[in-house]
Amino acid sequence: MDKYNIEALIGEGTYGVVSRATVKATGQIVAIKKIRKILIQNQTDDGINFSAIREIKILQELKHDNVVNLLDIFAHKSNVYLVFELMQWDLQEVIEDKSIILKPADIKSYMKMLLQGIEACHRNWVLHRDLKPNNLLMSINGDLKLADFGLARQYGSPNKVFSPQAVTIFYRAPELLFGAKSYGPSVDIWSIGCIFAELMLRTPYLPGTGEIDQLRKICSALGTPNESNWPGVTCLPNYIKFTDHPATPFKQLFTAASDEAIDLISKMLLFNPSNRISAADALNHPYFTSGVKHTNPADLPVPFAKKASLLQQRQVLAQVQQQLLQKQQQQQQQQQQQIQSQPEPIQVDNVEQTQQAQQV
Amino acid sequence: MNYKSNSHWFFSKEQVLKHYSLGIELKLEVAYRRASAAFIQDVGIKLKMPQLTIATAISYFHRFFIRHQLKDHDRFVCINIDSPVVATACLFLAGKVEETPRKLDDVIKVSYMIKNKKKDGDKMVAISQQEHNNLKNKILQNEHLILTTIAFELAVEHPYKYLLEYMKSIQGSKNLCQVAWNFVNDSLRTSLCLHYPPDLISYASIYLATRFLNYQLITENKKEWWEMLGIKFEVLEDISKQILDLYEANPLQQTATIPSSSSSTPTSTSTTTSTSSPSPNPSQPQPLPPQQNENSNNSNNSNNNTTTTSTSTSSNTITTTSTSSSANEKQPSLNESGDINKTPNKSLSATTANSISHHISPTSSKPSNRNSDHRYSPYKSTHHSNSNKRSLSRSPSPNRASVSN
Repeated sequence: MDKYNIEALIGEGTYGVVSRATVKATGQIVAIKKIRKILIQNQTDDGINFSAIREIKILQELKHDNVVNLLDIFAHKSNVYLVFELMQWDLQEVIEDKSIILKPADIKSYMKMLLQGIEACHRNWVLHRDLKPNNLLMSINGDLKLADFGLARQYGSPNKVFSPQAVTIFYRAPELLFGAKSYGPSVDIWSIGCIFAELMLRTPYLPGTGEIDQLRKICSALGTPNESNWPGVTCLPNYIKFTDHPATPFKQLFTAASDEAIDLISKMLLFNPSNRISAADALNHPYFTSGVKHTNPADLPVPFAKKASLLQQRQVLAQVQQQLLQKQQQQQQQQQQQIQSQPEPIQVDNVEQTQQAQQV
Repeated sequence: MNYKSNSHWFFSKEQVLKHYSLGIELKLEVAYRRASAAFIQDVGIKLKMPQLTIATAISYFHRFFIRHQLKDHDRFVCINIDSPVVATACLFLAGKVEETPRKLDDVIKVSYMIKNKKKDGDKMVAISQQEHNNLKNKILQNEHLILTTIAFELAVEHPYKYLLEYMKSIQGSKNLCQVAWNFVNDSLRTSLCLHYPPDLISYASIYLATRFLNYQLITENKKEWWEMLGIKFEVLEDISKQILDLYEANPLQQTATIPSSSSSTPTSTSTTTSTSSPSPNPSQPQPLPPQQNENSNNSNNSNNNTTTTSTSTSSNTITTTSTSSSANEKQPSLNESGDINKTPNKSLSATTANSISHHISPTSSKPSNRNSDHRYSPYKSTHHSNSNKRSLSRSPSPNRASVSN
């Protein structure tokens, strides 16, 4: 706690408040998430918040450029605090900012980073389960990072029962809506498909008002699921038969999209979860290898409201980095001087240290 | 590999010993850890938690008490916190981490029941409301303390994963897998998870299982299977010894395990067979004879004097040799046999004969209490003898090397 200066409240997460703070030693700006601990007299008290445990466990295992970076965890009084790198804005703000024009190259850049992040999750057997533009944060350098792993969990064991009440409803895959209790990484791919569509449309692709309405929206956009395009669908717990409806061709909806983009999104939004493209395969899709090159993250559009503060922060960051470099150089020089002045004892020390390291 | 990021949770024996010596007596510490692990296992099973969750809980417990001292958490010293509470809190936390949460109230009930069952026979003690709230408070406090102590490193890797992976790759029999699995379960009651990464513990368990069942793993290029994996034999042996140490203290388990293992490994029951029969190829290490002979020898005698053999069977070969030989040649023989054990692949027939001759004569004529003192003698010898220190400080490095492989 003493390491940080808490500055301002910046938001409320699923299980606690998020504040902006600076690291006293380095001046680095971070986001601190406070996990509330329910008091002991409460009957339903089950200790440290379950989703906090999930988030800590998963983020410690996942270190990736496109996953939000957990810098530190500390306990103070009866609270637990998670320290993250401070993110600048989320994809939702980009989508809603009508002054921004998203070029196909920009969308490709977002999709690439998003898929890289989720591929790292799936490679480590983690399902995010709550992908939505709101949870895709942009760093000071323009990198997209997955955040909010409070719903994420590990998969792999086939008999584990999952709750189908996962994922914000716009981005919820049809197998979840039909009440499937065992599902896999394809639920995240469905969400990504919806986000892909939203980036092109600049409005939510399937904005349902409830589970039934969501299914109706899916059917009217993509056709009706049946045994031929999704074997086993009728056996799902909450299966409802919908009147047959023809799918709206993607080309008709996404007029500006390239053929590769249409092919990729159609593979992400397949009804049958086992036929849906995997994150690794999606990254090798021609969409990323041909056509316009994706935009450099640093050149991605910035929401209007954030431009000024971003510039300022980038300047501060550059200054801090320069100062750090200078400090390092000074230290190195000092060390060199020390080595030159008394070369022998230091060498002996080094040998001893390496021996100790080997023993450890 | 993932566990590399948690490498600061692996300690040398010297570090552990240093920690132990600050707290309570070594034997007590070992006994406490064992009892607590068994306690967690019992409560976990009663709560129908999967083995993975139980293993995570026990790992937390071991890690917790390498940072804290059991002394501080002993109920006799400190009224507020006692080790069963820490153990229960570990299990409660592990339940949440491994996605198999149990209600705190249920955890308290079962934990209290099992803790008091041992004292009052089979009679179950119902927990009073006051006691319940009291325990609840303590467990929640301890959960917090555990989280800070284990530095929020909630993800723990266990040997099970590597065991199953390897069994799948060699298409090992179900029986072999089950026996190795049981050895991994037992290894949780030692502090091995603080010394060795999980994959090595799993391979040592497989090694023990192959010996237990007299099972030959298919080898290529006339190499032993662990060599194919790039694992040094002495590492396997060291882990195996520590697992086997578990069976010595409890006579019930000892009679259950040791004789069957000797009966299933009849090839080397007599010293003459193993020494006289030349190994198929000289480059192949034949590390089993010393221990096997010792084992079988003991189990042959075990009917006559029970306590002596029970301790000596699993106590490691190096120490048995050193303690048994006469006072003059104590140090030399210790080093000699230690080195021999470490390089089994060179000048095989001579070394095996040598080490066997060291092993057989002493074991039968040894007083039992001495042996039990030397149960954890690898630690002790590091402390006392400088000459042995060198060889022990060397031993972790092959371990490292195999990790990188």
